[in-house]
Amino acid sequence: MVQILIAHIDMDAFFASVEQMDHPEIRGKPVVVGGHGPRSVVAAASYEARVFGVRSAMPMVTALRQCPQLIVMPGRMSRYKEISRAVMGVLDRFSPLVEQASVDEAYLDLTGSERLLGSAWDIGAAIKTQVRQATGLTCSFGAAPAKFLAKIASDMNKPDGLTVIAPDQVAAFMAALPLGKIPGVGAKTAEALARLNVRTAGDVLRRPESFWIERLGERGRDLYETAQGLDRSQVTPHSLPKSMSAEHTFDTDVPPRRLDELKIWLLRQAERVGRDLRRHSASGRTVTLKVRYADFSLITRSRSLPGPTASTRRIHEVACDLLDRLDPQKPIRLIGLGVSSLTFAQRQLSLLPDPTERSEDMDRAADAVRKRFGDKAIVRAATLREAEEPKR
Amino acid sequence: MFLKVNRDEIIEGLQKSANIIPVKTGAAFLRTIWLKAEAQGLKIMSTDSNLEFCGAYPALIEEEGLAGIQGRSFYDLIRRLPSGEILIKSDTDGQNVLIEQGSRKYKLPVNDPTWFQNFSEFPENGAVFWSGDFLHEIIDRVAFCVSDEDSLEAIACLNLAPVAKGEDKVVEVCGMNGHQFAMFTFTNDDVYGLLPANGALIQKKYLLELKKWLTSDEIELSLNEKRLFFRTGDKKETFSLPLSYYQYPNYHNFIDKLKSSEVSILQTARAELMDSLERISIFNDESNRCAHFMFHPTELGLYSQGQERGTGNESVEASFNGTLEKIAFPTRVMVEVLSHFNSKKVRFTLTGSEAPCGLGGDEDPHYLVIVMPMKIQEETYYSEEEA
Repeated sequence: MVQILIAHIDMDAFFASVEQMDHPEIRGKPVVVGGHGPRSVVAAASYEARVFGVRSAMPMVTALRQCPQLIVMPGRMSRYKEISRAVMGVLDRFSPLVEQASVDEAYLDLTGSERLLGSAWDIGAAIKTQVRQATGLTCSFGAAPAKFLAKIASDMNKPDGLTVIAPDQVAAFMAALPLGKIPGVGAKTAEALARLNVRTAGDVLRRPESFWIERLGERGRDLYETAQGLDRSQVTPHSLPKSMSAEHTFDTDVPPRRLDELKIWLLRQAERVGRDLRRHSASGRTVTLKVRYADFSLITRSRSLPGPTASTRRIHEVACDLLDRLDPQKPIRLIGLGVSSLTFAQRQLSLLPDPTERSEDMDRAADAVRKRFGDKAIVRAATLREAEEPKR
Repeated sequence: MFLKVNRDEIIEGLQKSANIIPVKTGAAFLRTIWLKAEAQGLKIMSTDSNLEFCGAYPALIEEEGLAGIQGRSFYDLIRRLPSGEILIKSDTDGQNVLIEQGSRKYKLPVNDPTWFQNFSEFPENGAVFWSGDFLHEIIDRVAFCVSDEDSLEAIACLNLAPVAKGEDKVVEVCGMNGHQFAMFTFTNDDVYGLLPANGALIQKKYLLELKKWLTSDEIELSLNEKRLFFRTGDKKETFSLPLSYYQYPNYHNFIDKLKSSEVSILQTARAELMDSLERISIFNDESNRCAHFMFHPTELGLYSQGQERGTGNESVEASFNGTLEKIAFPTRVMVEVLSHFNSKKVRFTLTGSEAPCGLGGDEDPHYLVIVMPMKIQEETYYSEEEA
């Protein structure tokens, strides 16, 4: 049987490292990327910032409290994407099967490559060298016989790490692996399993598979397999997005009676999502409204349409109707919308008169204007009330 | 309650009864099968709060009474018992039903009889006889086009509409899902007379249950303002479902387009086309789901491609008359549509590359399916002109 070899490459503190590379004056200093608003969170933290306990997803207020000298840099997504393309270009030299998991990480299927490219250690070292040459940045490389193990491996010796879990090391590695590291085992499951005195993957294997199937059903079977280091998921290049969405966290909570204001935010988000859909030649059938109240409770409401749409107006209409029906009664912290059940490039036409078809033509014309003259060249009048752009 | 019944007399009815009760969810009384012993025999009843089943079976009644028991367990038990007489009896304090067959003895807890709600009575007035297998065929040929999503209201329903065409009293049975439309028409004065002028709408999820209940035997059909009733010809079993009240889209708008003098007509062998499409579909992927049809006077060209799958090209013998050059249809949908025809040759009535296409066949004179083509978006929508 062919021995599977999967690699995971993760750029080290990616956004922050790009900023430090582009701005020599902040190299060696604690840097984070994020906004300055009262509810901003840290998008990425340099290793110098991490010494102070600053972490990604931490509220910026907390980060600044823990590290008053912290340098906060605004994000530059277009620059990060540019570097990301250079990284992916390097990875393409090593395997035809590259799955970009996010802007700063990717999986490679290296199965069968060892005779051509050398051992996993050799390949890892070559990738790291070429990524550094192409971008000036370091990355961490992990390789293993399973996808989730490769990801764990790349995280083990960060930054600039190179870790290989060989097939004959998997059993010993899994025996001590905390359950929280296993994909699909969330905090609640880990807590429930801890009550059974099961804290590591090795603990899972002390009971028969039937024990887990009885308690957790199909999830139990998956847990038992994963605890052995088995993972059926494959490296899938060019995977199409499952949904597109936009959301916005308000600087101050919005009272529920201000529905008109919320609907303007939904229009901005519909504009953004609609444009993304059209750019990908996609359209979606399910519109989802997301509302997070000030008490952090989260409500989502979805509606399926008779046919897929990429019309800003249609997406907005459905989201507004969902909001009206939700009839929020508590202050709102975040509002967002998403479109899912996507189809790409080709879609079947509607039998019934489609009022959104003309609206989509208009949207495409506006997209073309924006593409040439910039995002502000043409906007819907209703969105002029506030200048702030929705966050993704 | 105390009765004796032959296991084989009730097993089929019990299965139908168990079919409609929710297995996991729902209040306990909805998971219940009700047994009612009355002078005429044993009644077995169940509901999921929308569908209702009631069957009457011969039994030796020693003592009349009513008991509600966990439906799935009861059915599973009776199903596994061998043929022969079964004794069913409420215990003295009414907390359990005792089931005995020879030396086998079982005890099932009963639900509170106050939960029992009377089942809808079959409206005798205006009831008409109809063929069970004909209704089964109609459901098969139309329901596949009905949308699966309840939230889509009218188009998640099968529509039975009475339409007067000159002297003929025609019933149009149609279903659509926004992209496909299927219609089966038949002439039956009785069914025509039974239906309300605006037609009757039946949700797809109920149709599937109705299909399980139907046999090829004759049935009686009746309705009241809220429900549609089906009863076996021997009047022993009644199945009823709620009607829906939505505005059904005016489907004659797009049917009428097929009557234009400017349509193109393609005729080809159904089985051969299906085989070709099955092969062509191998080259479809998530973002390329269609088969391109390219028209020539004596030949139909078929083409499909997928980014990682390659390309497939075929041609089938056909006769084509019209101006349309090409069109694209979702491959799997087209295969499914074709599979519902009986005709050796199918006729495509094409009204435009982005307009409805009607399918019919000589051996399917009362059957029409309309399929919308795919919109193939070009990479660039707007080109710039130098001023």
